[in-house]
Parts: sequence; structure tokens; C-alpha cells
Amino acid sequence: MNKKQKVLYFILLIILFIGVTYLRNSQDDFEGGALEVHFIDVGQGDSILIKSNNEAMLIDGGKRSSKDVVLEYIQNERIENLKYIVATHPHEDHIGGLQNVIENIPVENILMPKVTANTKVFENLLDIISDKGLKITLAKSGDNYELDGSKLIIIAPNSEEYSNLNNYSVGIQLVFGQVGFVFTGDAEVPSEKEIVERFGSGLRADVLKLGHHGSNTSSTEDFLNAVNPKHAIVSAGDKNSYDHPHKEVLERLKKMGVEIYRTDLLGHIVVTSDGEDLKFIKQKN
Amino acid sequence: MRFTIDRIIDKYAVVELDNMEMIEIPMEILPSDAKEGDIIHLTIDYHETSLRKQRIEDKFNSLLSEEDK
Repeated sequence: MNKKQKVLYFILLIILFIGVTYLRNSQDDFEGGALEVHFIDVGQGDSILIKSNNEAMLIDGGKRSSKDVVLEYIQNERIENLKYIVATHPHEDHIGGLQNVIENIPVENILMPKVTANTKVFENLLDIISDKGLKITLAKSGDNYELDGSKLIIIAPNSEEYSNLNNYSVGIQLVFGQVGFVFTGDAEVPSEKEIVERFGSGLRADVLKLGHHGSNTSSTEDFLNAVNPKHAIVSAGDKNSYDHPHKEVLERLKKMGVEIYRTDLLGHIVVTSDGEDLKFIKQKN
Repeated sequence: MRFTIDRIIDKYAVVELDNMEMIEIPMEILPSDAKEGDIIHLTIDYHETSLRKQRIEDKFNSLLSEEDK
């Protein structure tokens, strides 16, 4: 091997090394401060697990029939404590799995809107909250909470009374560094309108969990324009009876150039962020 | 039979049975003023059942040919 060949080999080696290092870095999760938002596939329901550094919270617990899916998911993520549970509103497809979670995992705070339901599922949820010696914190629009490095802003409900239970949904804006998320439970047109009136362009977020499983009773053009998301998540059941997500909502988003992720098609959807960039991981279950 | 209306979506109601199981039923079979949170009782109308049975049996019998009567 002459000198020229040696130099060539050396250069090749360096290129290879850089290439391998680059590849490995791009596959790694974000290191240091990181946020993970897990849209758990609970069929036609909602359940969102959020991990921010060393703390975690759960927004809704899916249907009662998927209570084991939710609990096992949280346990598989090695979460030993939930700083917050948010029950966005007392419909069973949002609170059905929460009793099981509270029974098995220590919870610090429970946020709810000021409204009740007549179902046993809801009554049992109240009973387990009482058994555990916990109290309910009413979610009030404008209030702020902290989740280890992330800021949570309550953006709904903005009225005392609605004719439809969906509109009592607790809306949350999560801000982590430069990255924002908006979750609105099943909030429909009247609540979206109030959110836009109160928070305006302050709503801007990269990721929006579409209201009411992508139904056309939510996701008005005004609301979508205010949030101006790059990505939208639909939490819905495969071939559900209501045709969620509705075609017109999907078209509205497509026209805005928003990328759509659906649990009914992809299974669990995990979004991770370092506070600047976002990564999407889809796990078919 | 008793159940509670948990939620109404379009033409369907998701109702909670006494054993906490949830089932979906069409709105058409519920009272027209039924709303979320309402508790619905289903009962057998014995009187109406026997009246209807009698009426239909009579109709049937009246239509039988002479030799089958």
C-alpha cells in the first residue's frame, strides 16, 4: 500500500465514521429535556399520555372497554405517578378508563369541568376519587399549570353553562420551548368560538388534537386558522358508526396543508419534541 | 330493563346498562324528547300484547278455509 492509497483509505474511513455517527444521531430520541405526547389508540374515544422530563399527566382515559389498554400503556411507559389527570368532560368514551387508572397509579391532581353525568361510570369515578382521599380541581379558563418544563394553559370551558355536554370540555394548550400543542376534548363550535375570542392568535400550536374525534361539529375554519397547526391528530375508532373523522374536516385541513394522523389507521401515535423540533412515531398495535 | 343515556351522536345514543356495559342504539327507538342523562325504563306492555295477539289470531282464524276451521 503506497502513501497515496493510505491517505485515500484514511479519508474513506473518516467519511464512513461521519456517516455512521450522523445516522445514529438522527435515529436517537431527543436527549436531555424532552417531551412525549402519546395518543393512545382506544378506539372511538380519547386518551392522551404526556411525559415531560420527570413528570407525567393523562388527558382522558378512553372507554370503559379499553380500560386495560390504557393502564397497561401507562405501566409499560414505567410511569409511577401522574401529576395530573384531566377528565375533559364526563362522557364515557373519555372517562370510562379513569377509575382503573386511579385505582392502580398514584395521582396528585384531578382536573374537571363543573358538570356531572348520571351514569354509574361517572359515579364510580367520583367514588374512587373519594376513596383515594383526592379532591377535584375545577379547570378554569386562563389558569396555568406546570408539568416539569412544560406550561399548561387552560383555554376552555369559557362559559358556565352549555346545552351540550361536549362543550364543557376542558381545553388545554401545552407549551414546551418553541413547540405548542392544543387539546380540546370534544369541544364543539360554540366553545371553539369562545376560545378564539379569548385567546386569538395566542392559540398558535404545531399539533392540534381535533375536537370530537374529527366530527364536523368541531374544527371550524376560524378555530383552525387561529391554531394554525402543522399536524392534526384524530382519535377515533376504526369504522365507527358516526363516520368520524368527517370528510369536510379532513378536506379543510388538507387545504391548509396540515398533515393528518389518525389512531383508527395508525394505532398509537407518539409525538416527541426537544422544544424545537417534532418527531412522529406511529405504532400499529 | 333500565338504562342511562350517556351520549347522543347524530342518529345514535350510547347508553349505559345496569352492569355498566355500553351499547349503541338508534335514537328512533327512544322517546323523541330523550336527552343525555335521562334514565329510560323498558317495560312489557302485557295488555297491549294480549290485545294484539287476540286481534291477529281472530283475523287469522277468520281467514281459514272451511275444512280447517
